[in-house]
Amino acid sequence: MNRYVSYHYFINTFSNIMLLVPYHLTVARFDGAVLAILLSPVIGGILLYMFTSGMQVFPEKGFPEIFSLFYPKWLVRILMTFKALMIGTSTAIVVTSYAVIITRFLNPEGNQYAIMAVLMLVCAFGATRSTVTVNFILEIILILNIPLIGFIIYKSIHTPLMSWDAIIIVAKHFYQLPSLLVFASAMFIFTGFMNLAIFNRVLPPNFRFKHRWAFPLVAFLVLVVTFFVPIGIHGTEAVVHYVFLWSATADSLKMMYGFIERMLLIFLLVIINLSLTYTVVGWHIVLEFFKSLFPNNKVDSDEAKPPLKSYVIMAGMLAATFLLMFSINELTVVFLGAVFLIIRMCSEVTFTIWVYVLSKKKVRRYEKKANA
Amino acid sequence: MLDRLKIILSPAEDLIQNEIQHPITGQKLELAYFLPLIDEQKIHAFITVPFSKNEYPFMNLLKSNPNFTKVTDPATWTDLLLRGQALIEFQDQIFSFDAMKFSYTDLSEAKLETSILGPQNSLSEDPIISLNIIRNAYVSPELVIDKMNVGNLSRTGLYIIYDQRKVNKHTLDLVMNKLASVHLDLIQSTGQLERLLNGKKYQLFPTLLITERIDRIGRALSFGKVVLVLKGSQYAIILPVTFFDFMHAVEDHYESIWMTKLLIFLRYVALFITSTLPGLYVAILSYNPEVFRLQLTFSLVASRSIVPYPSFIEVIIMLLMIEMLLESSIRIPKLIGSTSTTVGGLILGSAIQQAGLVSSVMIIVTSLVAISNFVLPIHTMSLAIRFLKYPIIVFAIFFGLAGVFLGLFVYIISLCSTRSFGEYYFRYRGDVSTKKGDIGGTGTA
Repeated sequence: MNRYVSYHYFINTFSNIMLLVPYHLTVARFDGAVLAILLSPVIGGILLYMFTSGMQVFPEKGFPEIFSLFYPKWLVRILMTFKALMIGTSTAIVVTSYAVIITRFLNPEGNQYAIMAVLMLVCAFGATRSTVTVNFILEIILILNIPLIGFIIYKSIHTPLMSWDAIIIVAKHFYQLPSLLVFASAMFIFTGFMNLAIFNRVLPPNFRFKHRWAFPLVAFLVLVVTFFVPIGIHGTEAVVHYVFLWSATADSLKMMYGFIERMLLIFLLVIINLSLTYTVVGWHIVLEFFKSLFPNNKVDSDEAKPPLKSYVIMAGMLAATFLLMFSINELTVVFLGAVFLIIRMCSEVTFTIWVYVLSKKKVRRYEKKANA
Repeated sequence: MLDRLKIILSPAEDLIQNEIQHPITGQKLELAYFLPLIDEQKIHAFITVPFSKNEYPFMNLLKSNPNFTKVTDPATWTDLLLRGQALIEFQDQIFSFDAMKFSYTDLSEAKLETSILGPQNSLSEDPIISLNIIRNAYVSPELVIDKMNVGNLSRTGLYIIYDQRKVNKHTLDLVMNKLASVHLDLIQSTGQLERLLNGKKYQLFPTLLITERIDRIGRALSFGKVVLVLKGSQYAIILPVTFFDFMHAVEDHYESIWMTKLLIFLRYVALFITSTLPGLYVAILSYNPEVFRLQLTFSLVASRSIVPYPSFIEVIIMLLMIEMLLESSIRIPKLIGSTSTTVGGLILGSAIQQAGLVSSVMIIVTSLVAISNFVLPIHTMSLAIRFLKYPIIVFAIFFGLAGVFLGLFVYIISLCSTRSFGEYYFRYRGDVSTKKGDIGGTGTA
């Protein structure tokens, strides 16, 4: 069942494009981005090991159940609300930026808000399904899209536009220390394990994490590609001119054969799929966190019919995301994204260490019981 | 003997166990056989009638008639019963009597799921004949056959068949509960039963498989599935099923492995084409002509240049026509069946294009959609898939290419959330073993 863990890890890795990670990194390409890229897999790997070995002590339990084992109800509720708001913000940013991408590149004449509304309704439909279902959606979408992602990466590396000199010049700036934002952007790619906060519920009780070393390694390769390929194609200076950097990069690629000439369309297809899935998974986690706020909430990872409160919470979330959409423009999205990345990194590190400490505490409790 | 048989064999509705006592002589006869496997006329002629008439000492008959064989080893009992022998115990001796019956000649030819190399016959409308060939195909003492009546008025006999060692108890409970909750006056066909059992009312995809093929049933039983045979219907229901079962034809197990794998892949391509092509046509011609390379776009647009209305009207006209064509060719009497296809397909198709009402590319799209729909091997699924293109067209009309992908995403969500009697309907299985445990905990299988 380790593949299910990897899906959650990699959906996060691939969604970095939607959260403007490449933009933040390339802006700081001479000011520490390279060092951040080199450091983040190490720290991300350590966090992954801590988090997974922490969660392993609590089989079939999500965050709400784990924290209620140790802390009073009110504290758990505050923590869960905080986590839910965090993930809610990230999905809201993703939704906004892909609505922008679709209207800009695919439907220039379409009404952005109508597209947005339909996208969100579809995601809401997905997110209200059971936890197991969401897992399957994630799996199938990733299996269908990974060949396309591989193809895009292959094409982008093999393009004649690629200037390796530009890459080497940027790579030589590895000694500058990164700022917090740059480091947080790079770290985002390695924090996909946090989805287990809810999805640990569906893993079987005798589950063991395996091949953990491979996760940060693959994610590191993805990060290297997302950072260096646009630099190689656009050059060291022009690369900062784009907010949606990878859309512009994909648009400069061309396929010689076949029906479709522009790589952008395949890229958009992948992006739509991945962001929809990211949103579905994210909203589902938010939903579960909010559901755990209710007294006597029954956890059922494969319910036949979503309870009424799921729909109510979902409607609230749709409304909140829509309000956010109306009230911000693209520039604030960039700013909000930056703030979000930093807060997210801090929260991820805190919660990882917290869970690790709690797991030690639980083990000690059992030892005490066994000795007594 | 009978008490011992009860221990060895699984409880089966079709196992007849009789104890006959002669009213005058007081002699006792114990008789056991599987009803569907046996020619009852023979039993009467050779066993029950001579025994009750008692004109000739029955023991002498058993010993002199070569059709009776003495059985000494109780271990062979089940095997003998399953191979169409009746077992008789008389005066503490056990004999087997060969009364085997094969009902293959009584069957009609399979019409919906035809195959080249597989068995050519379908099930029968007589449930006893159906049970005969099922018992002959799946020769196992573990096979359980339960009987119940469904329909308040019709009291139609329904046989529930499964392998008791392999079946999932949870699934079986769900099926039994569901069947007990069926309240309808008349139940006349398996299709009706399918809709009643099909979980939610507005289910998009079928969660039970209707089949007429004996090899499919045998295979399903060996995988621990439950088979329902309804009296008066030559189709059986298999459950639980997954989406991928619907994409497999029985012949996939009979023919060359590489070609079979290619064919399975082809079916998924066909599935994609038949559900999205009309939507893509609308999206590409009306919203995103820049998708294709320039020459291709030019030839597409050029073929549409004489058509006086937007692409989606064209699509709707053509799809309505093809649906009518399909529907009429089912309803039309067999004798004049070929007329509708000739008139509809050839004459209308070429005329409508020459009249400039529909572009020639649209004709290609329509026929491709219809053809690829029939590549899908199971009728119920291909019907369900036939519907899928319409919502996608609506999405495409309003949102272009993004709408098509959005529509597909909705289908994936709804496929993933479907459960067929507790089993996950649409998932990549991978290396799931009971030892490692499956996702979703221990509650469901």
